[in-house]
Amino acid sequence: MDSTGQHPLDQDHLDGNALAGALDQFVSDLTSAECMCAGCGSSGPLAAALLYTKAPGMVLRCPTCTAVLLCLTDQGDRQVLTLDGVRHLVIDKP
Amino acid sequence: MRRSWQVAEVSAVRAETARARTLRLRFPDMVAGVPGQHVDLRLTADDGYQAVRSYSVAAWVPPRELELTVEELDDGEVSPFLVDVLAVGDQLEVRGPVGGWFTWTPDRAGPLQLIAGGSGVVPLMAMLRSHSEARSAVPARLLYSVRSPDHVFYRGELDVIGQEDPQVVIDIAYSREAPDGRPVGRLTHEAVTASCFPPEDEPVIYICGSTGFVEAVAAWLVDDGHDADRIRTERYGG
Repeated sequence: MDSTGQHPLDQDHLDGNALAGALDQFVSDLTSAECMCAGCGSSGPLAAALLYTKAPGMVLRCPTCTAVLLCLTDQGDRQVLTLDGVRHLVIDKP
Repeated sequence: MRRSWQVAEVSAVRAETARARTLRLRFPDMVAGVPGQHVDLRLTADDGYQAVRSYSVAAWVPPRELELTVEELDDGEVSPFLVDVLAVGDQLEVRGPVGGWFTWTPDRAGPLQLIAGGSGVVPLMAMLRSHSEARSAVPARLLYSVRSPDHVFYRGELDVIGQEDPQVVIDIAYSREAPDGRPVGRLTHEAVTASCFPPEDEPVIYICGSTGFVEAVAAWLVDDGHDADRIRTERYGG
């Protein structure tokens, strides 16, 4: 806490709205993004990973170790994207 | 790129084989993309059930049209409708074109090696057409594995490109039945090596076909010394 009673992390920040422009690039083509598997550490484009669609949703698995990278499930008017197996995505700027 | 579904109209249909046909779709606005991309089609049944399938673009017909080639699958839920029922004037919900990794444009350096198993030729045909239209000086080869002469898509056009474009070599391999004088049999490692640019030419390689086909061919090429980073693959399932 500082003298105003606020935690230092509470100051000098914006909010997520300001990310909109930076995140907008992600919708260009995410399948070209390079994905590192949190399980085995190998990297490659999402397009080269293995997609299983005969499941409740779409499941993308690592082509090296077969661990689940991400799942995309449809819930009516919403979609849920889980990224449990993704350490990071490297995305080219447009 | 379109992020939402839009309605396109079937403006022409053309049989490719007994079980495959090309659909030309006309969009309400301009549609543009790059060779290798696909579109998603969404069909809705009377009871509200929806099915979404991806189909590669075979040809771009600016400004408002593109062509897909669809092969009917025995256990298909969507493809029999697209091949046998859909007629000129019918409408379809379309998303895309999408995809950015399994794509080729004429500015990409290196000889172009295309390897197709069956209907995997569709996105590679878009690349070959783009290569021809651009009068690209890049040498290109297509190795196209099919069951029989009756299963070849784009037969006439492939013959013309192969004969008239000095930069392009087209090699069709027959697995079950071949024209007189041509060998028959499953594609082998040796045949792939013989048909492809050697690793020292540093070709960019695109392989599209069934999962088994793609994985076998890609592994052979890596064995031959091709850099895995120059090999791009697309599996169509099955």
